[in-house]
Order: sequence, then C-alpha cells, then structure tokens
Amino acid sequence: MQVTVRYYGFFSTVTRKLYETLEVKEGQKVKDLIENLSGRYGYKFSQLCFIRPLYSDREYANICLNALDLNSIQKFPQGLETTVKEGDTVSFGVMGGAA
Amino acid sequence: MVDGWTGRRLRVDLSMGTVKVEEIGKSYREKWLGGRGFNSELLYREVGPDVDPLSPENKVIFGIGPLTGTFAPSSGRTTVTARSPLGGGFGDSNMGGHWGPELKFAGYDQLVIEGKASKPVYLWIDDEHVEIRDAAHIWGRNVPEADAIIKEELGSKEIHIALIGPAGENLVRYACILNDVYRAAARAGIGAVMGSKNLKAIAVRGTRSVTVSRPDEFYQVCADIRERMKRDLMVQMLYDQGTWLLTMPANYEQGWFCWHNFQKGFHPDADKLSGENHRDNFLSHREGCFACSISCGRFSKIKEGRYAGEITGGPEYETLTAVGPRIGLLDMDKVVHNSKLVNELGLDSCSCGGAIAWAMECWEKGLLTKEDTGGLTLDWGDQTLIDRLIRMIAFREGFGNILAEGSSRAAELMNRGKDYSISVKGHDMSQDDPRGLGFAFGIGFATGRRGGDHLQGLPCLELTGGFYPGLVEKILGTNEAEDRLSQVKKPEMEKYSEDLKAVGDSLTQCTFTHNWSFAVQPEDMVRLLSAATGMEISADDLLRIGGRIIHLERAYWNRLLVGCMEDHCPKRFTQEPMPEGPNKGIIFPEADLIPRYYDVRGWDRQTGFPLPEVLMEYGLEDIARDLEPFREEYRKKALMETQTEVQMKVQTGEKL
Amino acid sequence: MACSLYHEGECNPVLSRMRIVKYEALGKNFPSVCSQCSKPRCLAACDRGAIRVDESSGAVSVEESFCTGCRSCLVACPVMGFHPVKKVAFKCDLCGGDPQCARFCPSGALTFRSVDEFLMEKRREMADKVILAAQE
Repeated sequence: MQVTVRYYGFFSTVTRKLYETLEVKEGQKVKDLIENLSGRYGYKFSQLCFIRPLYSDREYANICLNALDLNSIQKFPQGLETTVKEGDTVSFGVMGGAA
Repeated sequence: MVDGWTGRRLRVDLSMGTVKVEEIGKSYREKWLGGRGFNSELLYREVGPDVDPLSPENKVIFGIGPLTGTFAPSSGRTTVTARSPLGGGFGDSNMGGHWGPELKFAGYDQLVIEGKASKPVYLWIDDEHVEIRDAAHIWGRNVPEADAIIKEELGSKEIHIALIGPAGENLVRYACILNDVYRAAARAGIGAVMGSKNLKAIAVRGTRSVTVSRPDEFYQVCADIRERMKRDLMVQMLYDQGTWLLTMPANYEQGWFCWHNFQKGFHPDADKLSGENHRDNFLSHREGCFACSISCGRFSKIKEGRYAGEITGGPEYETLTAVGPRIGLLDMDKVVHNSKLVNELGLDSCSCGGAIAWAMECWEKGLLTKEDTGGLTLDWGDQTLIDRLIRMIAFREGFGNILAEGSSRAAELMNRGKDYSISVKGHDMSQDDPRGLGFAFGIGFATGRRGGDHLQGLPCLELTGGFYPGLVEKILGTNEAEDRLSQVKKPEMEKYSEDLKAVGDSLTQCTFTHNWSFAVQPEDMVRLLSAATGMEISADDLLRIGGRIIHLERAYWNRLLVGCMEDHCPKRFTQEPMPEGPNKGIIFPEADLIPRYYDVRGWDRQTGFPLPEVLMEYGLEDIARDLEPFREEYRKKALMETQTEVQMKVQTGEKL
Repeated sequence: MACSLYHEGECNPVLSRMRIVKYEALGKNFPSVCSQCSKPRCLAACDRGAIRVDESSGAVSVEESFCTGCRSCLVACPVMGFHPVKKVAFKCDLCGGDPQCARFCPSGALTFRSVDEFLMEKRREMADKVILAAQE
C-alpha cells in the first residue's frame, strides 16, 4: 500500500527531498517506517526524529500523522506503535505546528 | 547615573528647528518600561483625536528600552509610533537591524519628531550633537542610494540611518521606514507621517556605553539564556531557513497559504516557494540584528531569469507571500524581485500586496474595468503588471494613486469591492488566515491595535507551543489549547501573548525569542531587568505592564469612537469556509471568541471599552476619566446599531 | 556585546575587541579581531613594555598599568582598541583561553580551534569536492 512522506526543515536537508511516495507492507507501524527511512538516509535522520525539547524531560517525536501531532496521547494512544494506513501522510519536522 | 536606560528623551521640532533634551524619570520608566510603552503613552497624551495623521501636529516617535544595545539576546529592535494615516487611529511598527542600539549609544531612550520642516531635511544625531541638515539632494532617491549618499556626506560608513523611500515622500498611506537599508518598520504607514514632515532620514552615531547595575550577574544571565537558545531546535530552524520555514507546513499541513487574496489557503505547487528552495538556490547571506542569537535575517540573490544578478535584503515570510501567492505568483525570482522593489521604494509589502490583491480580485469578479484602471489589465500573477503597479503606487501615478490609499479606502473611493478588501479597521491583513493559522491569532486580527495584525500577540503557543511539551499546560492549564483550531482557552492565550509581546516591544527584545521559540520566558526577562537596571519586579507584574500598554492603546482607539462594532475580521474569514486543503470547511468563529476575550481583558461587552474599574487597577485613572463621555456616546451608537440589525432581521425573516 | 561587557562591564561596541565591518546594502559582514601574531607589530611599537605574549596560550595582551596612552600600537595595527575614558590601549586577549565572542556567535562565523585543526578542515573541504563528488 502507498503512503506519502513529507520532509520539512532539516529533514529535507538530510533526505534532499521535500516529499516522496513509499510502498509499505500492510500493518506497518510508524516506528517501522522510521527504522526503514533511517536505514536509507543514515543515523542523522533518526537523530532528527527524536529530540529533547526545552523544558521537557521526555523525548519528543518530531513527526505528524495526517497533520496531527503524533505525541498527542489523546489522538494517538498507541504513539509510535500506531499502524499506518493506505493513503496516510507522515510528516517529519513540522515541530508541533499541526492541529 | 541611570543603568540600562539613559533617562533622556530627544525632542526635535522641525517647524521651529529646535532640539530639546528632556528627562524620563524613574517612576515613569518603571511604569511604562521603554520602547512601545514609552511611545504609546506619549502618543496618547500628545496626539489627540483632532490631529490629522498627515498634519504637522502628528508626531513620529522612535522608542527603545533598557535592554536595547546590551548583551541581552536579540535586543536590537526599535518601536516607531505615530497616529496612522492608514487606519486613522493608533499606529506603530517595529524594526530590527542596528539603528536602535546606536540611538542608545548616542544617549537617548526616545526620539520625538514634531512639526514639519519647510523643505526636505534629514536629522544627524552624533552623540550630543544634533543637527537638522538639508536633504534636497537625497529627496526622491530610493533607500539604498540615499543611505550611501548620506554616509559619504557625513564621512563615515559606521553610522546607522533610518530612511523613507519615494513612497513615504509621496505620502502613500502604507509607506514604511527602513534602517540599515533593508530592515523595515513597515506597518501602519508611519513612513508617510515622516514624509509629511519633510523628513527624509535620521542618521545616528553613538559612542557612549550602556551601563548595567550588576555587570557580572547580567553577563551570567545573558550567557545562560544564550546557551539555552543554542540548544533550541526552533532557533536552529529559524537560523537555517529564516521565516521561510513556514511556507511548506503552512500550505501542506495547516492550510493557511494565502492564495489570491485569501480565496484559498492551499496550492499544490506551493513547494516552489519552500524555505529549502530559497536556502539552496537564492540565499546569499544570513543576517542578524544587534546581539541576536537567532539571526533569522536573509539576503537573497537571483541567479537566473530576467532579474538575474539582483541582490536584496529579505524577503521574509510575510513579504514573500504578500508580493507572491497573495497576488498569484509562485516563482521565487519574481517574488524576490518584488520584495526588493517594495523595500527600495519604501512600501509596506503586506498592505501593498493587499491593495493589489484587492484590485485583482475586483478585476476577476468584473467590478473593475479598463476605464477604472487607466487601461491596465489586472490578471493574477502578471509580473510585468505587478512590477509596474508597485512603482505606480510608490509615485501615486494613475491607478496607483487609488491603490496608494490602501485597499479599504480604495474600495470606498471606487464604491465597490468592499468585501474584497481583506482588512480590519483600515489596515490590510498580513498574510495569515485565521481559518488555518489559529483562532487565537484571529482574535488578535479583530481586536488588535493595528487591525489585521498577526503581531498583536503572535500567539505561537497554538502554533509551535506543542513542540515544548508541558509549556501550554503550564501557562493555560490545559494542553488542548495546543490545537490551533480549538476554541479552548484561546482568549486567555491571546491575552497572555499580547501582554508578553507588549513587554518585549518595550524592553526591547525580539518577539521570536519568547513568542515563537519559547527559549526566553517572563522569568528570564525579570532577571535581565533586575541585573541590568536594578528594577525588581515579579513576572506577573511585568506582564501587567504589558496589559497596561494594551489598555492604553485600546483607549486611543476608544477615544476615536472605535470599539466592539469595529472589532471584526473580514467576512471572508467568518463566513466563507475554507474551500480545500487540510482545513477544508473551517471558518473563524468570531462571535464566540471575541466576547470571551473582552471578559478576559476586562472590557465591556457592550462597547469594547475597558471597564473603568479595570483601568483603575492598572493605574490608568486619568484614562478612565477621559473615556467617560466617549463610552456613553459609543454605547448609544452600538445600541442603535443592534436595534437596526434586529429590525432588518425581522424584516427579512432572518434568525435572530 | 559579549566582549565589551566581559572585559569592561559595559555594553559598547567602541569597547569591544571584536569589531564587525558591515556592508548593509550588500548583506555582507567582515568580523575583524586580533590575529595574535607571533611577531606582533603592536608589541614592537610599544616602548613601555606594556604589550606581552603569554607563553602557553600565545595570546598577546596589554598590561594596563604600563600603558602611557601614546597610541603607537594603534598606528602599528588598527585591530587594537583605545579606551576613550581610561586613555589606555586594549586588545583581544582570547579571554584567557575561552573566547566569549566565539562562544556566543549564533552562526559559527567565529570559532576558536587549533591552527592545525582549522587547516586540516579546509584541506578536507577541498578533498570532498574531488573524492565525495566522485562517489556519487
């Protein structure tokens, strides 16, 4: 199945792309996708995915799923274990600016 | 011996040719803080309701604060205030660069320009020596040329100059003031006020120190904040791409990319104007304002196409969108060229784009004909036309003369297209659509001191606040407010952001340090103030000073009989749902949010005037007294309006 | 402002050892600071022995108490400074080994490394153009 991946900010520096369409297996989770892309684009990619923002003692996943912040427990109770579906858009580097 | 501040105001009367130095005493300094606080207070007191904005009785006021010119992060900004020729009410603007600190080194906290010179002049401030000099040879010159000529004439390239371009000279209602050639104080048309005084430029050189009360402690506080800012990803992003970093998320994630005068918030090809494209193909230099740890400034160079070889300061997000997608352009070279043109002629890019967009939409909908435009065809995205039109506006030629009035007045003059003037209180919107950007921003657009202004509060808590987990919850009590399109706690968010912004504009400290990146918090400002000036204040009381400034600026409008009836976003935002994109179907729920904002502020729901008891609480007793007659008059007016509306609805059978 | 505040306790570009030459219309800036020459012209110009070299760090500094304010060193090199009130020369002393200007420079335009580290980095930049480009 196909998903769209968008790269913002430093992610686009590392991947040299603004977006791409990926072919992924059914039932793949967000964390699998991250591993896949880190394998392709190097350790810098995974470094950018997980950051320690100011004033926080937790790591923050710099990722949105369909324009929603993946760190929102209300919207994504399973967090990185959330399954990706056909036609989803996964955005890297939007920095909390999604709804 | 004053620390931080200089305690001195320079007052120049261009009619009499006199120069005076006045003292700014301690209690005044601690009540109004500096910068915007000083400016707004002086404007309220000295420029009353009967002063025409383009008359000699108006004043142009440049204000800086106790932290300007020090090691405090991002402390280089200057607030410029005057009664606005664009909206007719309160007007101010803020510019970066290095001019403000130079004024501080010359020994002044504030510069007030009154009267009108009998012929074009410029001001030269060289420490204590202040001179009014002839400007006939630079009148008519564009900004870079005038800057070079003055530096040569005064024999030094180390001076900093605030200038108007031909647009200011020709009293274009949204003309701007620029310092260091490309740093603009653009909004509210204060450049026209300077032009109406026949004042072309203010050149400054200062060699004195800014002293601080406890130098070692001040150094440590600044160092701590700066180290924290280094670690902040938002700061790094702003350095990397400048505010261009907004283009891609604004379009693809959030749906507020201003296309064709806000008709749409999404365009599939918006990536042509991505921050990545700019950084990789057009960026020639990253520039920083005085003492700034972020350095979001850009310089762009066009390498190919018909504008190949052109170099300009900027553009930043608002400018690129104003002279870009708002008027139908997506080609970066054209956008950069237009930005250069607008800067060098001394025009506010937002209002210029707004006026042209108004005209283009009227043309599209058949409301303007060739007869009206003097033969011009106003097609969206026609670069040859746009280049020509911008010049016509700056020189008030032909149809440009109508557009130079701003889209709101132009619509009135032509008596059509009023709904296509996307403006509030006469001020054109900046390129930020509340249907996508956020509802707290929307409140600021409707109620702000310069209508249509994202910088009333810049409540980025709803935009980037989620990136600092726990912060929004700490300030507002719930993390639901992180959602841009949620109504929860948005009036409180806007109030908090506005108060903080007012403080930042007074200190002066760039809002990006505390209202986009949240690396600087009110507690930091308190520590900076204490170590720099010896002034002891709590974070809450510091924010109250911000609140006091907001009440004062509101009272300025109230005195002109402007209140709740004028606090409306353009109908496009409140009645037309977003046609497509990530936030399809959204409208801005103004009717719910604004009354709640009044409650949070302590303003009367019936009039939009601050309640007298609230003004007393903030130490504004004389303003409470001033407003009494106006409050009563406005209340009657508002009541009549509501009654008329009810009558009309009864007649048309509309739901009440 | 890091420099002037750190050394003089006041904020003033005139008191900063690091000065920036700006070209506002072009968007270019030229930071100008002492090169810590091994055969300093400022030292050679000083007849009072006020200018010394620190043996370990190589930093060249002014010993204020010996300075008579004759300004010969300024003539020898414009990257010196002269205090308008104290009437003595001042210059960059590398802040005792941790230059504050470099510490707070947001863009990395100012860095403090060993000469060898710097030169090797530049050589690698040249090599990248040949080697890494060939890999693609």
